[in-house]
Amino acid sequence: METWTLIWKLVFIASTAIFIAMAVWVTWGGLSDIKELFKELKKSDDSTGDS
Amino acid sequence: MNVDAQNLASAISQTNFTSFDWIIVIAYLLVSLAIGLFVKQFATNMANYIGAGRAVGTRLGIASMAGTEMGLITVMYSAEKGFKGGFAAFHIAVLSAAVCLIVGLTGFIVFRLRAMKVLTIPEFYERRFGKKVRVVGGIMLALGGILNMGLFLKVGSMFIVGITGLSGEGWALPAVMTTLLILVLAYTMMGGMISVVVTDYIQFVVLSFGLIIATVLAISHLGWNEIFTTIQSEMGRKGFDPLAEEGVFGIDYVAWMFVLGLVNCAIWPTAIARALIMKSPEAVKKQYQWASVGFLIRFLIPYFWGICAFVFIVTKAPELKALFFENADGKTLESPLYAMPVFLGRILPAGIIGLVSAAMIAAFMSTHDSYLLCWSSVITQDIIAPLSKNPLNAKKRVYLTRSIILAIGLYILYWGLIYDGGEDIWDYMAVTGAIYFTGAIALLIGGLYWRKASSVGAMCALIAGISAIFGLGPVQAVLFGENPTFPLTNIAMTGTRVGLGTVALSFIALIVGSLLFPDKENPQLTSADA
Repeated sequence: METWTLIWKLVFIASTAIFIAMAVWVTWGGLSDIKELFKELKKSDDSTGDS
Repeated sequence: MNVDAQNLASAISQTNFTSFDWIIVIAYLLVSLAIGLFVKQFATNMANYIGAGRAVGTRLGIASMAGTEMGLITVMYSAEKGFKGGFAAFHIAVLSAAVCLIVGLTGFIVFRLRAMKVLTIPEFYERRFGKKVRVVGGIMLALGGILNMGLFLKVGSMFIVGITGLSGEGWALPAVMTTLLILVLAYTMMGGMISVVVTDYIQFVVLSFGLIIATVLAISHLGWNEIFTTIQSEMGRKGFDPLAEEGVFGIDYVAWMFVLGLVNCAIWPTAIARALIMKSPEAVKKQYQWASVGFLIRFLIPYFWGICAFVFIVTKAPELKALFFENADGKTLESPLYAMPVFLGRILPAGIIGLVSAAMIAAFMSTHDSYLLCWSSVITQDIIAPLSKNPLNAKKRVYLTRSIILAIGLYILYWGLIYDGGEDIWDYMAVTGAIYFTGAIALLIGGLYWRKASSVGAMCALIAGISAIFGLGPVQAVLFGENPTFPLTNIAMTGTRVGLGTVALSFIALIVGSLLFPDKENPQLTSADA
């Protein structure tokens, strides 16, 4: 049981740390992605969506 | 412990939620609505409305996928799993993340789908297997998906009334359900995928920081070591080892979770929809590699909250044992789903509780908007448009999709108001989802990677997938009686085993049907073939 306890402790700490890093990166970079998205969407056509 | 009904209501309604927290929540909701209004100007054609112009960058794509896949219903039932199963439940999060990472590194399924430039999964079915498979696959996808989200509204709203201390008020649940649904319907109908993606971003930001803050406060309130030692003393080995015989999981459950991990990231239409709006197939791979962290956290932190709720009741609020712990008959007075929000309502301070509630509402909304858009666009693009005698132009399709979003919204409100279950949520969701995905696994993998897969084989696989319904408890009770076993064996017919068996059956149906009835024309397997 000690091994499992250690495994889950490590999994939890490592996962949370990586998630915090990812959250900061996505929060920062997501804004510029939104600006680019709006630029692209302005060039719209009359597509029905079917390829 | 014997307590009367008044004491029970009092115990469950204690919370630190104040007027200031309501202001935070309402401000957040108004911002989401304002975004929907703003982006309406871009929703001028179908590619923009359901595919955000296929112009979503990697970081925005990650935020959108993470926001969509971390729904409030996921948070609720995962917390319940942690509450009942302890740290052993963590294996599901690890498997889910590992599968998503493998998909991201290899591009399995998603890379080829994006390269074909389809907007929906049934559109791929038509390109590969013909129009009939598109329509039948579209009907099954929409049917399974809409049934699957039938419980989202009610279970999500249970969190809101639980954390705000309104659980004892009869009017609260229907009022919360109706208000949230109206808001989601408004911005999704107006801006389609563009509002969904942009609000997903806001929701990701609020959700991420809300999750982190609540987790840190839960640990500081209970004590890091205390959490582990309490689970050790109360649950023993089964609280840590997912393969423990006396535990609630076991080897077949772990195998089923591996399949569900693949389904969640590479087969489930709302996840695939996020892959199909990316700028390029390469961006999809990057999106999935990072999204694996989101797939890990979407289970891990709610499990942890459920575990903390369990520890809180054992060590600091024993009066709640009578509500949430099983009595001698194996039943609980109150659904364990409420344990986590009641716990958070008691430990989080004013201000923070508003932020965490806004984060959970964000989880609720980001899932609802994506699901509403996904099923409605499938009905328009893959069922109505192919069957329509006159071609539908872009304007008609957008109008139709908006109308269907409204109709699905009314259905889930009706379902939320009449549904009176609670303990079988996971069972219900797994089986309704399986109606679609057991057949879809075979069609997507076979269609993308096996040139001999034929339209007859595809239809057989779709039909074989329906047998997943035999995993649902009430269906088993009607057809086979209590505690059924598989024919000619003593092996118990659990939902997990029926699910695994149905996946195998769908693949067999695809292979046998394709070998016996091959297609005459060569199929398209990649965009290069198109």
